[in-house]
Amino acid sequence: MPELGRAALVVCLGLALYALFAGGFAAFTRRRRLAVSAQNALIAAFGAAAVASGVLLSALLRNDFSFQYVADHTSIELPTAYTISAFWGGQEGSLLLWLLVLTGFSATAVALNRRVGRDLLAWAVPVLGLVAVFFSFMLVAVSSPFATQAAPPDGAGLNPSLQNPYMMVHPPLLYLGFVGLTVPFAFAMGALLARRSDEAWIVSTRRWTLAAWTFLGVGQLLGAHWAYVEVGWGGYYAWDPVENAALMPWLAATAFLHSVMIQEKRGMLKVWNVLLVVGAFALALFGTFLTRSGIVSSIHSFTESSIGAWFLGFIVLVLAGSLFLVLTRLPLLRAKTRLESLVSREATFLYNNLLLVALCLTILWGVVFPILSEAVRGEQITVGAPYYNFFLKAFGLPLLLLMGIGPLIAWRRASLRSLGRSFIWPAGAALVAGATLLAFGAGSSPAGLIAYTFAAFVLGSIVYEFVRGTRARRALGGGSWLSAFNGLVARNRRRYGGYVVHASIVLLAIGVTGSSAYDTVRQQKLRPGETMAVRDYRLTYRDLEVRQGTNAEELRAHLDVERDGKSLGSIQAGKNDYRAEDQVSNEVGIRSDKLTLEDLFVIAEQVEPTSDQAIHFRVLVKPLVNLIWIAGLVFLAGALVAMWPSLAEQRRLAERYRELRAPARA
Amino acid sequence: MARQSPVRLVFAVSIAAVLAVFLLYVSVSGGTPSLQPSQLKNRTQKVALVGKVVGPELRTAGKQEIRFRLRDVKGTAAVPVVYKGSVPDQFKPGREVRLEGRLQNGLFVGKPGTLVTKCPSKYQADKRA
Amino acid sequence: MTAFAVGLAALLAVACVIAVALPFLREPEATDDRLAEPDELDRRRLELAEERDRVLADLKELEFDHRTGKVSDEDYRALVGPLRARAASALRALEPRAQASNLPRSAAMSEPFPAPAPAPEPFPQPDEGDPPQPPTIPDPEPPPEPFPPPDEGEPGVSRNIR
Repeated sequence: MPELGRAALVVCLGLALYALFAGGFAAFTRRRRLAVSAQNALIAAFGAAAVASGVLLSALLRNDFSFQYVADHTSIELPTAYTISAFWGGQEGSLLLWLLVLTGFSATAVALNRRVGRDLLAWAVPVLGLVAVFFSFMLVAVSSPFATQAAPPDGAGLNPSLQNPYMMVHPPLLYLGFVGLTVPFAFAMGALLARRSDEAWIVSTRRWTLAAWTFLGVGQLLGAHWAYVEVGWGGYYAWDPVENAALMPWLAATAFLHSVMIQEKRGMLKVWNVLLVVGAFALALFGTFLTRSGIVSSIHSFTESSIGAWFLGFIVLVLAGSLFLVLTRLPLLRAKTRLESLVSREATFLYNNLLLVALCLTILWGVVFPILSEAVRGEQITVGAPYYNFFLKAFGLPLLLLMGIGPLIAWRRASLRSLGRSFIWPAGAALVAGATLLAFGAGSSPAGLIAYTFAAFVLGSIVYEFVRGTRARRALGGGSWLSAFNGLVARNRRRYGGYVVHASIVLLAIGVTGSSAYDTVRQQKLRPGETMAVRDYRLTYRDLEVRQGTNAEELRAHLDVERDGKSLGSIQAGKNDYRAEDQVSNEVGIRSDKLTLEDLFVIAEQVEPTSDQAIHFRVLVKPLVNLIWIAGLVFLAGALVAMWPSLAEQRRLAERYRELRAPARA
Repeated sequence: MARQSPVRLVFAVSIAAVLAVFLLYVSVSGGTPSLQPSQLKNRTQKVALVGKVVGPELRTAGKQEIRFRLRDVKGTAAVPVVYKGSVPDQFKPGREVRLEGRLQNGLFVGKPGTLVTKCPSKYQADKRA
Repeated sequence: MTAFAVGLAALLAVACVIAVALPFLREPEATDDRLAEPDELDRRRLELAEERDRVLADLKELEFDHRTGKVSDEDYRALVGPLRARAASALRALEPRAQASNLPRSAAMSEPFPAPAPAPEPFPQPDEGDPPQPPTIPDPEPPPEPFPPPDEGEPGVSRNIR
């Protein structure tokens, strides 16, 4: 069976090479049948990758420990769901997932663009082929999931902290995002290679970018939620390089989504857009590289496995090739128009882009700095959370404000008077909110207060936009408010879907602000019967229970929770001792308040090995933290609205590009 | 148009602004060098120490304090460490840990709350038992 | 390796070869093996089509922004004239002969347009999705405004350029 997997990977590599070389040759010499043949090769590559994946999956499900990969990442008692998730639990399997998704997306892109964008597709195919060559080569020659061994009686099992529903979906979603960015990149390069200066590549890949960006966003939120409930230190984001690995391409993609709108509207920023899409893709590769090699923990672990060097080489190749293409096609990318005013929607999009890219680069610097300093000085100098938090505030707060300003400003030029009129309601809402919060003591954190005030402003501007639009539409066509609202959104899905996404980001900002700037932490050692007070909660430690779970010894402290004299039930916190894997995990107790959206977060930090069962507890009250998870749902809803296909638009765009075929020559 | 596009001006000014903010911050706070015990030598500034725990670990009953020795990940140079604060569950002899603090009279005094254990990366082939 | 695996591998190999060779098998001697590529004329037309769509969308959005109050009356007056002129020239550039026969003469000469009265747009709108139509003569009395808010990149909208 493993031979079938290896053979399938070799076939995939061969097909990818064919797509690269034959496809490139076909595009260059304008041969139609060869171009179609190369496209078919990409589709067939998906088939080969699927076969290889099927082999690995069946080996996992059969607990075939003669496969080294299966033995390393699963065990007999591992539940089936987690056995499946072990597919991407290790390095080789995750590369195979990359390849599978990549070839799948490439095949889909080919199928969708076969009729309409043939000439563009002809050049995009070799680029997609190139990326497929890299990954299939890695799987064939460097890191194969089909290595075999004498089958041991049982496997090593999966890290217990990964045995969690969130950890099952988090990696695949991120992969869909990372790989999804390959398609816009390929089409952008294709447009450059074909020497086209029109917007076809943007139009063809708009939904790809949006979908990839949504996957990345949702995937990251799920990861943050896992960190919050599973790892249990009381936070959800530690600015770990592996976490930043997904944040950076997401920020670049966010910038790209906005600047593309400027290009469509005004024909400006063409070079910037191409550089952004290259950057987003390169960061996606870099992110994959970061989570694969141990490079950030130490440069020495980097040299232990060669996979890091290959990744780095490929990233350099991609960057160098793209830059070369951009430089040689620079005349094609000349802007047609100029920025007319620094106070216009184009300008706010530009500022938004600059802030996003600045934030992305500072995070990149923070990730790369320890590696550089070790390479240069022999000493790794790490930057911690304070560095990242500083820049998050420095760039994030203005970004938050811009989210509110942008929708209120008109294109091209906005006079201060019309601006003033548009700002009145949202600004008023913000001031009221700010003053109220200040009265309630939010002044304890100036940055928090500013964040809340800006958030109120943005929410106010979004509501105002919806109200204005619905009112105008109703004035035109009559009907109820609801039908006017539906009609408004249906006719302008991108804009109003975008507003909903903005609202979700604001909710996220409020949740993050509340739970980090206004949280409370208390540490106390309690013996059974003793009570500790945190904010307006009182926790009484009742007893310590020791029980045997399925694969761990579970220690749970039971506490009674009370607030303002009223009992709120009980909460458990403790640890799980996984004997087989020799690991201890933190099992925190969380009580979410449905009304205030705050969490009472109880960690049993240290259990004294003495007879009195005293425990060091660490209790946090995190206001508004559940808003973060709610924001994720709103984000998804908004993105779906924005992505929703519109028949009218499809027809129009198809017709625009079909005009190409019309034999208008005399 | 006779005038240069304001876009380029905006770009240039923003880059300059970002750099200014960045340099301001870095010069004020600075990063923490991450060292192994053999690199400590006589440094008394605040650093982050990375290494493998060498037993025995002595925990003081009643207080959250632990004493142990930390050695190079791939070496034998070791330094005694005392740490006050909650100790992560994964902590045990043989595990790789990181903590911040400073060297005082040959004893490394850890800063409370900075002790973290490094779990083996789930993506690297971890053939350790 | 089991027989099943060998069979599957063989099947995979054959399927891939067929997939790759398919275009050549279907057309062993193709009369036209040229990959269609936009020539100069096509590129120019595409550029003009994009420009036309862009300008018409801008116009639509300007009207909507004005209606919702985002754009003040003065700003609207200042912007709408040149925008309509650009729309006219974009439409004309794309279909010069069709335009010239339908447009009123003043538009064909693209004079600067007088600022419109503060009352909104006097022309009926087609639904989204209709291909660009040549402009029609407007009704004499101010008709109601039936037009929907702008969609992103609204297509050809019939405009009477007065």
